[in-house]
Amino acid sequence: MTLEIKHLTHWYTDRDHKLYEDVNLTFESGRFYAIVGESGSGKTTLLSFLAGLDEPREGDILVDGVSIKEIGLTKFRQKYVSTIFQAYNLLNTMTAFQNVQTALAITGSIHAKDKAYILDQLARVGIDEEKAHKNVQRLSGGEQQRVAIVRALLVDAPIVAADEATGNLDHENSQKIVDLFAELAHEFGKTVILITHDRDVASRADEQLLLQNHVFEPI
Amino acid sequence: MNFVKRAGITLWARKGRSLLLVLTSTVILVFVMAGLIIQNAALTAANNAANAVGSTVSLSANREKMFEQMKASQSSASSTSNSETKPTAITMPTATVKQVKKIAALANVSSYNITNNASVNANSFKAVTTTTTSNAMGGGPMGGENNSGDIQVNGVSLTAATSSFTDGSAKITSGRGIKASDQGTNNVVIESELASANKVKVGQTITVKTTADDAKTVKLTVVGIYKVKTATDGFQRNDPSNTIYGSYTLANTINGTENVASNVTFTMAEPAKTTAFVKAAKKYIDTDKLTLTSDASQYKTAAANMKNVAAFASKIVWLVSIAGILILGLIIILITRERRREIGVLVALGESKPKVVAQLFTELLAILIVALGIATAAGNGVSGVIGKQLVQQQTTQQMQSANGGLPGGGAGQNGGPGGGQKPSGNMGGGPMGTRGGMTKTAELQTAMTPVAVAELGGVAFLIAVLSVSGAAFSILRMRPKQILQAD
Ligand SMILES: Nc1ncnc2c1ncn2[C@@H]1O[C@H](COP(=O)(O)OP(=O)(O)O)[C@@H](O)[C@H]1O
Ligand SMILES: [Mg+2]
Repeated sequence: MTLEIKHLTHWYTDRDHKLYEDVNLTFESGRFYAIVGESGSGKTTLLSFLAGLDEPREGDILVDGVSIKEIGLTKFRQKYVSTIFQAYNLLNTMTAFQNVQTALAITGSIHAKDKAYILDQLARVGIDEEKAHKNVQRLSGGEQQRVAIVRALLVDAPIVAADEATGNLDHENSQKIVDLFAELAHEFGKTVILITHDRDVASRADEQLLLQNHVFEPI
Repeated sequence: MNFVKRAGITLWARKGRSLLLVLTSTVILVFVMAGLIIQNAALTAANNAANAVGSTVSLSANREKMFEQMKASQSSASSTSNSETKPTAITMPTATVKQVKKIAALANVSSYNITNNASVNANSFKAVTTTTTSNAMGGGPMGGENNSGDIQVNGVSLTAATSSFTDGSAKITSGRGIKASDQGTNNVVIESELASANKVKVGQTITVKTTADDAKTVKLTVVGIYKVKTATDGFQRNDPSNTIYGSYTLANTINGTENVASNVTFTMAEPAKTTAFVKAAKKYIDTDKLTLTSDASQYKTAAANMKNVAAFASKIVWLVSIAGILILGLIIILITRERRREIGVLVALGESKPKVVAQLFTELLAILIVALGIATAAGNGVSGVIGKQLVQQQTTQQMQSANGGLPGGGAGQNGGPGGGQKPSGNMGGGPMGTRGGMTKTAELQTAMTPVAVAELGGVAFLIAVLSVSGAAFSILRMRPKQILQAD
């Protein structure tokens, strides 16, 4: 599966202050990409387009040549991409377990009713059963982020997009997460796009892109 | 159905918020319910009034015309100075039983009661005497042919349809009342005080003497004893215990008349068609001599008053419902804004916005169902209080109007139709004397509860739909990107 960005041009309020101009990028499945760039350069904005949460002013995003608008943004979000944000990823009224389960139910995953499987996967990132049944607001920021990552990894989406997913984690935990991302790309054949400011994390990717001066340059 | 589960989890996780919403909704629904209860009760009362108040038309002598004639004859008499030999010997015109039967055959007559009166003297027994008894009291009744006897015979078709029995001032205590089958017999019902004073029991016979010059003795069979609530007002010519009830044919026999129906009360099946009935019935009578009096105007006033209350109550229902929708709607919108992130996460996960709205709707519906339960439970208390108040008001007015005198009450009762009791208050006064007001009003409470609950459920549903649509509008406009951005 190929994910393409075609002629992407975007600005928020001022047409003369464009975030990007005529950007063309291709992401292949089975590969792990890292996007780096200065704060405010437009990394999160790009992710919002890739996650089908927003639409660019100009240009299009295509999956195997089909525009995601044609697929339908809701369906695209549900079936094609799973996203991890910088903050506020979880449903505050629920436990870690319920958060994962809810996501699986929405996306129609076969694992939605597999309690043991969900707990297993949470345990892999250090969320034991006791923590899994706590309301997520009682977990630390890092733990919350790990729950969000597990959730994104478990839904069967071919694209995984993460925004500063390791930002709140210590070195050891962030290494574990990066291992997971790499595994998803290399063993499960997913397209993994990771936004980070951490050069160490970025260096683990198959390809690194630097967003600078309104364009993406390979490093 | 995933959203239903999420709704449940959210409601449970935000217990405080849920409880607050339940309380707010309960308060709103109790107000709505109070309005609905008043509305239903007022409508029921209006129907009761329609059935109870204005359902009679009475046929009696046209007194106005008679007075005119009397005056004319008096003045002519004095002018010829033929003077006092024949003072005011006028006979009151009466209808015939034949006429009555023709009128009764008209549409809309559910029943009728003929009342004839006669005056006799006690023969085999003694009349009850009271301290206030005095024949000196002027302005005697106009109804009787003779009023010199000490016993009053009230001839009726049915005692059960006679005003003093229907309004509760008289009650059969042993034996039975006068029925249609008593026509042509000498069966009577006597008052308990008269009976005990003379040691008369049901089944025994008594005799009376007519007041005519050639006084005849009439044998009467006592088939029942009634008790009258002593409402002696001092102006009564006779002790009420001296009233004997018999068939109207008995009064005719005593008076030496035949087929006379001096007073008839027709009970309407549909009070609204009273006017049409009167118009049709007038064709059978000589309106110079007889008159038909309906209390339709009072029924109309009473019914209109109650319909006003119902209309007012329905305005309250609307006002409170709209206020409730606004209050809950605003709360829901505020809460929804607070829940932007939660909604954003759901949308980012690929949940469709309509399902997010459905979740909010489910949550509010669950809250309103709980509130509805509480409001209904509380409403039983509320309805009890309101119901009692209404019943009380109605019965007091019934009593007042019953004392005020119903049309066709026979001799001795002062006041014409309506008795000067203007319908007062909201719940419509006016005479409601006939036909078991108590049983009618007792229905009031029970009959409205399921209706009120169903209507309340409808209002609750409406509140849920409208409140959530406000929030839905903002959700559907939300861009998940904006929602999920860090502050
Ligand atoms: N919704 C928005 N409306 C207007 N300007 C925005 C909006 N979102 C982001 N921006 C601006 O666009 C630029 C890029 O933001 P963002 O994509 O979040 O950058 P990054 O993630 O690289 O730090 C910033 O200058 C930011 O202020
Ligand atoms: Mg960013």
